Parts: sequence; structure tokens; C-alpha cells
Amino acid sequence: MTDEDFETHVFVNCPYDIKYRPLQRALIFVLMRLGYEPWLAAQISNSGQLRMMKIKQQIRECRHSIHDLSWVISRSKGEAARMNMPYELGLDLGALWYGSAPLDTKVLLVLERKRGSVRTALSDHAGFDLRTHNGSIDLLLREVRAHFYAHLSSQSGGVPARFPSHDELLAEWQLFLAWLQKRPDDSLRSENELQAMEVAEFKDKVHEWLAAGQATPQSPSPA
Amino acid sequence: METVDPRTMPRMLHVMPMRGKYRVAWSDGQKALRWLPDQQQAIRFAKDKSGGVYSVIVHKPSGFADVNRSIVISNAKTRHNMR
Repeated sequence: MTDEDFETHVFVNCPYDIKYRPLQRALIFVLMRLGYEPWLAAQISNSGQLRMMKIKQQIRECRHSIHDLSWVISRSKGEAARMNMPYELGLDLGALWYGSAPLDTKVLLVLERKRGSVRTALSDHAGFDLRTHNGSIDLLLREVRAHFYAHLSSQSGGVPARFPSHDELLAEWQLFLAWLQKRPDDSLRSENELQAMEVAEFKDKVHEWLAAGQATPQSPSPA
Repeated sequence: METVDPRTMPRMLHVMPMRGKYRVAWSDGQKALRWLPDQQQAIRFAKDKSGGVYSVIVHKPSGFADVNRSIVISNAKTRHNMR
């Protein structure tokens, strides 16, 4: 684990439900496109290792973290609210507040579905700046990009000249998916097939696509 | 999962929902061919532009290709570097 790894690794704390999967995939894509390496507990398959141990290790090895609390509020009667995400956010904040260097330089991004929704469920977290995605991939890409842009602009190196715009990211996400969905026999894979793909394999596919230099500048949106 | 070599992906036309409009662009395009307010119009435009030679990929708001609306054409002639 080098200093550079610590700087570029991002601990992703998000739901693993199939309904959340498109957002999870988009989150992985945008982080890798921006030059970061996302780490999710699900990408390590080892039945001999406790999940909490994997999470503890990732919190220690990643400077950045993204906590998506959009599912902390149940959306239908009988649905259980997910407490894993606030629990892991608490662990991460503990590392930031009580950890020794370099953990005390950690940078967190907390996402919520609708503005103010987390304040209702987690009032002790009031006062922190959260970003909202409304369950939309378009907004998720915008907010994640904006967070890292703001972070980089406050660093000595500044924002790289080729830092992609929101429109470029959105267009590239769609081009990437078209490539991923296309089978060599010229038919298209279903969305479900891609969502069932292992996190580690999905990351490999993003690496392959980026390495081939397929991220190209796109035209800006109208008006 | 077996995928096509990204460097030799066939050229395709994409209908992408963005900012409440539909952007029609080539996969190797720097600029949108056209922005249209209606998806049907955008698909029609893309089909005309493809001339039946190139695949037309219709994207959902999530970004995934709509398998039912997209038209994938198998044509070795369209294979080239996307850049």
C-alpha cells in the first residue's frame, strides 16, 4: 500500500440490492473514469474473512469514501430500513476523527436520495454537507464529479486540464454500456445480465475500456 | 463475460437521453448530429442516418441500451477503431 494508493482509493459504502445496482455500476464507472480506484466489500470473495474485517481494512486503506445513505429510509410498508450504511459511515468518521495520520486527512462524500431525508433518519448527522441524487444516474454522475472537482481544486496540484465535464461523463457512460452490452455475435445483453456481473469483473471491464482510450470528448448539452 | 475488443468496436449511432432532450451521435463523434425533443423523432432520425448499415443503440435514462428498441446490425464493414 503506497501513499499514491491511499490517495486514489475510494471506499464505496452503498446498498447491494439489485434495484440499486445501476447506480452502483455508474458510481464505479465515474470513479474509475476520474482516475480513482473504487473499493467495495463485495469485490472480495473470501468466505473465511468476516465482512467487517474487509470493511475495516478498506476504511484504513482509502483516503476517500462515498457513503450512499439513500436507502436508510424504507420506501414501502414492511420494508426494513438499511442500517449498514450509517454504521459504516460511523466507522469511517471514527477513523477520520480519532485515527492517526494519514487517516485524519480522509475526505468523505455522503449522498442521500432527497434533500433532508437523512436529517430525518439520522438527526445527529445534521450540519454536514450532503449531496442528493434523487435515484438518478445523471445526478449521481454530476454530484460525484462536482465533489472530486472541488476536492482537487483545493489541492496543490489543482484540477487536471483534461478533467471531464458532466456531459462527457454521461455520454461516455452510455457508450461504455453499449460496448459492454454488445456480444461478439452482434446481439445485445440484457440489463439484468450486466447487473448480475461480479463487481470485480465489472471493474475489469471498465479498466479494459479506459485502457483502449475510448473516453472521448463529447459536445456539450444544448442551451 | 466475452466482449468485443473495444479498439475494434463497430461504429454505431446512439440515441441518448440528456437534459430532457435526445442526443443523436456517432460512437466516435465529437459533436452531436442533432438534439431532438422527442424520442420517436430521434430514433427515426438515427435510423435514417444509419441507412440500414450501422447499428442504432437507443439508451434508457439509466444509460443501458434498450434491447427492444435498439437495432443491431451485423456488418463486418462497419468494424473500425472508434477513435
